[in-house]
Amino acid sequence: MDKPNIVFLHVDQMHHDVIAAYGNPHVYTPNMDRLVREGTSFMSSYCSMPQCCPSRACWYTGRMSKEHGVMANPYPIDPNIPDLGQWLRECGYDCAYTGKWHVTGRDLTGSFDVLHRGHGMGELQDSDVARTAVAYIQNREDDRPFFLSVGFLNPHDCCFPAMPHGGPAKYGLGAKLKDKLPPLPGNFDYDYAKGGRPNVRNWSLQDWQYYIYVYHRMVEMVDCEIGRVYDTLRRSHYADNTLFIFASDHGDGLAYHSKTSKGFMEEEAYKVPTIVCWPGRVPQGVQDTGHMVSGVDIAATICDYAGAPPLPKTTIARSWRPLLEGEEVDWREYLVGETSVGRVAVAVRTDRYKSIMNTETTRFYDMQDDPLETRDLSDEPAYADLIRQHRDHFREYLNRIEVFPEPEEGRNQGKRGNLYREYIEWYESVKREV
Amino acid sequence: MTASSQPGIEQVTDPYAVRAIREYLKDFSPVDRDATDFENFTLTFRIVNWVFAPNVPAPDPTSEMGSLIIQRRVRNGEIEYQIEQQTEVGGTNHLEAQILCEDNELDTLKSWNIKTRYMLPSGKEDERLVLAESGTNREGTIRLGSGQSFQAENPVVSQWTVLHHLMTRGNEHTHSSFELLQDLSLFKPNQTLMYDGPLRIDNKDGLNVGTFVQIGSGIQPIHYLLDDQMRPQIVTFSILAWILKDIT
Repeated sequence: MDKPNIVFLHVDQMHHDVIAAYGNPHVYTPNMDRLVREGTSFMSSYCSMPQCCPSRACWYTGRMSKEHGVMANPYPIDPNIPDLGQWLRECGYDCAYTGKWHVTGRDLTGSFDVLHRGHGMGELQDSDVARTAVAYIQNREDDRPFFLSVGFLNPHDCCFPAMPHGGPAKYGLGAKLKDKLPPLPGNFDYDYAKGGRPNVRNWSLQDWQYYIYVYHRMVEMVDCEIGRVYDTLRRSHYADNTLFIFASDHGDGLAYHSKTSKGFMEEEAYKVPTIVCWPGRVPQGVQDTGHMVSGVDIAATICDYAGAPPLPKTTIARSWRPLLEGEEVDWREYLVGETSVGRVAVAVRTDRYKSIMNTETTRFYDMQDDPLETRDLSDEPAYADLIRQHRDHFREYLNRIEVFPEPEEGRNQGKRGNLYREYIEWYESVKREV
Repeated sequence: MTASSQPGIEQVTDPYAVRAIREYLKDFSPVDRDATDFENFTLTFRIVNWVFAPNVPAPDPTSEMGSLIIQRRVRNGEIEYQIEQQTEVGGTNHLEAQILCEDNELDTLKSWNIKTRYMLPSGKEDERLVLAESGTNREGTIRLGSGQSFQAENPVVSQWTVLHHLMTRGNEHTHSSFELLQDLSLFKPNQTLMYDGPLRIDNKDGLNVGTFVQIGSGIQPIHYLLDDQMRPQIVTFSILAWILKDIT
């Protein structure tokens, strides 16, 4: 079989529960619903790190955020690590990119043929980006297989209404839309004891609901653009030989735990929508709840389908291809995600339980009985063995990854300007625990 | 505690219809050219955008990012629109469209052609990225040249053609339902357009406008601000806004 074409279409900051086909009655998403119908949804999909640049660097390198150097947005990628664009070019692919990139320190033009550079706001860029993607699919005359990466921004524009003063959003309109405002999530707690950001505490309950309302509309905005690209692909002569992957770099607080934004390891920021479509090759209408997958797997999956060797030093990433082709395969028992936002922390997820650890504390949740993460079980003796088991998983993970060292020149740019030592010292101490 | 007893964002900000561009409006000069023919007109807008400026105290700055010309003509019982739009977003994005509309209250879409081009920041045009599309609307069945189709249950309008409805029929009782075909490509059903009250713009001379709000799927609330002569002086989306530059 010829090498397949690959379209990797990604959105930014999309909460895992804002696709109508998954049961959300407050959004209208006919295009993502179509992806759900025509593809396989991974319902236990997590980003590698819930922040833009680290997560994206994981997508494109197949390495975790503490391996490739981008452990937080301002930190540059290790220049010696190849990315998917460079890698697939070597394997004969025409690699094109349109829209948001945001991999710190990596010049996109060195890796891809850049169609549209995008802009930091979805309302300004997404339609133009979609049109370039559609034009590329319709007009290209190259005989090589292609890898097209499409970077939409929305619903990331929610970062602006999430500003303390509300940014550009029309919060005063909320009073007139009362009957249209969605309810607050079940784990919203207006008195979220100092855990939320103090600077958003001036919001009324109605303001929170209006925030969710505008967020849903942003999801619908990008849904239309997704549909435009996907429909073009399916109507093109590439339809039968193109793998289509849809993912988000991370989620959004969306008032869960009374939070907005990302960077933390609760499900609202950490869990992401992920759908793979290829009619005739990937099962349709399947919602896979049995396999935990990670954003870092995307690189491994794309290399596998492209017939390319795995990217170097892929320690954690695994190809989804066996899962999508119905093979019986031993899959990972646990999944680790990391963050450096606020403070260095990790989440360890097993089938039923989840722990969130930082340098001082561990929280532990039964995700089957408490999917909204409202009851920390870490002090309950009945869970001590499970908590230890999660710690062992974390340690095993640390023994597998190759931690990016602190550069000789160091780094010291403002508050928490040097995160290298913070995670290196913590990780070393955890590894020494046994 | 009830929502009404709590502090809220709206209590400390300017009127929501223009809050994103309130800094820009301090120096705003409305178009005062008399306009009497609201069947044949040309509207020229500046396209401006709210700027994310985390280190600048509110209100936030605004930047001009492009222009939009909407020309409406009545010819042989048909309504013709010519659209030209140019925006600077990661390069220069050109859009041209010709639209034929039904001669009815909403100028509902009948058929159209749209062409977009993209120029890199270097000024070089990429021929691969020229996109020309067409479409028709026959009794609510929208067919795009690509083969994509949508079924509308309400009249179908575009963001450019809906202005005429407000200019000729906008009043305190306005309450219209329609489907939006944004950019003549993106189907966004269940739109409602309604009067949202009077507003005084605090520019140097002060300007009284009537405001109309559009809500619906796939859009942030859109406000249309028309003066006492029903000229659409300002249209605010979320980050974007149109500022009337001329009307002929």
